[in-house]
Amino acid sequence: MDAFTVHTGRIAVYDADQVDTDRIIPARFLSRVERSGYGELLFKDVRAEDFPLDRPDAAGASVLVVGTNFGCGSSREHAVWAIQQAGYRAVIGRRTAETAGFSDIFRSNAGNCGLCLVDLDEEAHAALVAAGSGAEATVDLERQEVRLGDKALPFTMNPGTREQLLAGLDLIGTTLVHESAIGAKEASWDSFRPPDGAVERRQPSE
Amino acid sequence: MATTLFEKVWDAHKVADLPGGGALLYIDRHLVHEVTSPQAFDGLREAGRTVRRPDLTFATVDHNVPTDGRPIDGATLSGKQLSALDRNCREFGVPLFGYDDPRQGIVHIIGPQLGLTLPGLTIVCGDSHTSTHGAFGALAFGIGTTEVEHVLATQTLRQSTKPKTLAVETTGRLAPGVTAKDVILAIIRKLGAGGGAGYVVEYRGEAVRALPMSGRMTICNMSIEMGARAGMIAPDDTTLEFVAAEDRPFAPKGEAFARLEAYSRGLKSDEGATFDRVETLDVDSLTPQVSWGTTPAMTVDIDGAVPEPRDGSEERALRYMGLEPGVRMSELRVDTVFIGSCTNARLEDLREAAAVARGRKVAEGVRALVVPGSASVREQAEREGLDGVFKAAGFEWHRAGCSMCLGMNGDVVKPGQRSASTSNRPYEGRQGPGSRTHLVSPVTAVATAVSGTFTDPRTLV
Repeated sequence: MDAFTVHTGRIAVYDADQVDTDRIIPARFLSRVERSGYGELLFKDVRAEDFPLDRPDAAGASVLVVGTNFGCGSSREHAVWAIQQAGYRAVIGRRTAETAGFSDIFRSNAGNCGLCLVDLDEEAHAALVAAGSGAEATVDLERQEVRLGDKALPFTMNPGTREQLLAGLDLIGTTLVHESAIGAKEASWDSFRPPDGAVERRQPSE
Repeated sequence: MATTLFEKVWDAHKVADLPGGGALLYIDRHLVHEVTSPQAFDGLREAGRTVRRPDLTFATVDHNVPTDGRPIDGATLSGKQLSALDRNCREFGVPLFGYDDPRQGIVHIIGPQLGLTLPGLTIVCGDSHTSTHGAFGALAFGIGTTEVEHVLATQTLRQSTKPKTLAVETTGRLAPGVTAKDVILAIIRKLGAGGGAGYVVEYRGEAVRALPMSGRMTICNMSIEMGARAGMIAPDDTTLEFVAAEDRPFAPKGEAFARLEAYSRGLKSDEGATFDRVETLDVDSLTPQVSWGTTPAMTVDIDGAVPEPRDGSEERALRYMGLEPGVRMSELRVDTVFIGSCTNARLEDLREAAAVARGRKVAEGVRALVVPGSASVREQAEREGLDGVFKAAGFEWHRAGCSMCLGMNGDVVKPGQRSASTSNRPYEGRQGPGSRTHLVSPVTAVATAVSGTFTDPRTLV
């Protein structure tokens, strides 16, 4: 996984709330078995002539600005892949008193793929929306701030996720540091495993 | 110290603390399906890794299978994805309940049916509706493909934060014709589509206790529709009777069952345990619910009307759904009625639906279909003659799969058409590009199919 530290790029503003992963990438595009080729399918069914991300000022943007509870619904990681493969390195959402910027599963998936998610409070978020698509911004994960012109807009991120992004960690390798603890859990807890013989095993060559 | 049900299951499975307050959790059951797993198996192969616990990993095909009797076409992307799962399961030694297996079905329907889902386990699947299994007092998370690979390789899941706890206390008794689906729609309507984010919800109180496992699963299934990390219901006699039933080949038997029973009896929130947040719902006066908009929180009583929009999302939803504020739900004509999905395609759902359909006819111009949740639900329903009831009423009777819930397999609602659906998401395009979905219970779906407009099932009884 690529590390994310500091990224400067133009923003594209799609200031909609409750954007679910079906809207980000419709289910009928999930039949492919590869991890690539999803960029052109991003927001496929809602792209029309006036779709914000298709306007000239959004061309070449690498920071996507969205509303609240972005990525709700299905756990499909394809939504994160589509955003990354369309050229975005970071997504900035709006956190309100009631709702976070992103849904929980989408947030995990993004962290696992190296896509940086930033929750800004409503006032800071409004500054980005006012600047509009095409404005240049810097997402600085080391200092946990978004810089826009002369403004520095602070944000916070879960320390574990931040560390994961900054280092571009291979998660499986990181987890296997705990191998002895995993083995100890397995030795003391049998998971109420199914009775022997409940399932037949099949051979690869069959 | 008094602890909650969630904390007990979390603590029992904690392998290590992670920075930021999270934990590494041991996983007891990993359910796998064709759509979110191929890239995970590829990742294992590229890294030269194996599946750590193939004895705790189970696969089936559900999202992408045809349900209308068509054979699988190996030349299509869907066909290739289905054969990729078969190949991966053989290579890595994972049992697969394939297209022609009598145990095949929607992953969240077959887990409980087969006895894979048990109280107090941790269960994951690359599907957000994994929350369903929380109905047994399991801690069950929907995960992404990178996490699927991680669980395959390590049998653990990293949780970067410990969820907060939310108790939903229910009181009262459901009136006949009002169902678990209406309860969960009412809860989501009250809390909002993002209102549960960061929380594990425990559903409590007499209205939940009175429900059979099927209804409890419907409630936990839709926990994700308010953004919750998981939903749980403490196990009781109803739960243990379900697990002890004869036809659950993967459930523990004999001494192992006795141990499970002893463990289960301790799985409840202690007197005095505190939740981070408490919400309440009284169901005495609850009426059938129907969603009007493009999130499950945009819901009204079935005798209600489309509300005035309160924000940009609701304005957009009105436009997408082709609705004006003030229009009564009972005036809206439907084109399609879908009874199916991991929310409402269990045998009990089909029995309740058939009881309303018996001796009635689907209205002229309405396409209505019933898609059982699993091959064995289908078989049992046929043994009880439910298929005959549905067919006589003009419903199509399909094979098991996710089908029109998400329109991956060719079962779609046509653009601009209005659907009454027992599924879980009325999102834009969810049932096909341009589809307009309204969520309802199975009995409301049948009443609506029969009259052609959204109809309170109680008016037909």
